Amino acid sequence: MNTNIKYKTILTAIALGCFSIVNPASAGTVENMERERAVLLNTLLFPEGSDKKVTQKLEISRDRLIDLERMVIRDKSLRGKNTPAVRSAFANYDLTFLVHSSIEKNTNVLEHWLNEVGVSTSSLQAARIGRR
Amino acid sequence: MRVELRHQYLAEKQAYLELVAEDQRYRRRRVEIQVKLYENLLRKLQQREGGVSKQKAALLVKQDAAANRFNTSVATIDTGLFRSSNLEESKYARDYARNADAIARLVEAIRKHPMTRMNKSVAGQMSKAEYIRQLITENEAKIAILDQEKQLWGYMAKVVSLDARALADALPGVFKNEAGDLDGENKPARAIEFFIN
Repeated sequence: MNTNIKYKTILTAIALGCFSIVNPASAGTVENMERERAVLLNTLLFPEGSDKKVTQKLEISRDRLIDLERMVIRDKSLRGKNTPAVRSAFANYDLTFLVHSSIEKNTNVLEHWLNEVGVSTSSLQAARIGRR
Repeated sequence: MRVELRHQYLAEKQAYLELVAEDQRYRRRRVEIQVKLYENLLRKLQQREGGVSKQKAALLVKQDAAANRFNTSVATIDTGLFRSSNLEESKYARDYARNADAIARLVEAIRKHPMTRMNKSVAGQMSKAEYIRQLITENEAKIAILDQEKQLWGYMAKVVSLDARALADALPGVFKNEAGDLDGENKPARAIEFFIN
């Protein structure tokens, strides 16, 4: 009986070694990234306080977002995780991985975000003030 | 003395066969556990891989595309980041790089491991499910060989049994008549004369 238990344990260990080389699931990477991105966009769109304070806040938020975006993209527990949050996160790379995408396109974060949501410099210049 | 030696020899053979039978039981149990475990693994794997809906498949495509885009651009992004600002590498980035290096070294060690080399020809070219099926087949083959060994062991036991009968027949003072009965046996029919006279 004991031999069987030992043998099962050894086999399970071998099987684990073969098939379980995955990262531990880190719950909430997407949610944390979304939260930090919302803070960054909020600071960009509605800056409060002195320029220095806003710049400092933006830098902190951007640095944190760089790490969070990398955590999400490297999080193996999200692979095939068919939840609304994960589906939405991977639906649009440019909006989700905002900082990486903006650096990739050599634009600042706000300009990149506005472009992605359909507000470009040319569309703003072409806009007219009128009554709806 | 000779009979005694034959008897000892028979007793040893019987003891050997009992040991073989016990060994067979353990080996069979071990292989059966292995097969059961691999079958469970295969079932779980099939459940995991089989249930890919259209939505999940689309998600997987997007996740792969995102990972590819990230991997191809990350070096450029890092260069751009450190050149354009006085950004210091975060604790996460440092730890990640250190762990990634450690993982790479471990992967290399696994690749160079003698056991990996031994299995490389089969395991390296197979999917997980195929590899598990291969293991199940190997274990089923072991069970088949055990069945054959059991038959072999059965015949050995039969030979021992025949030897034992031969030894019993050869014991001094035990003689058989033409009918195959032992001469010393009490048969009621032989005593009939005492009752009818």
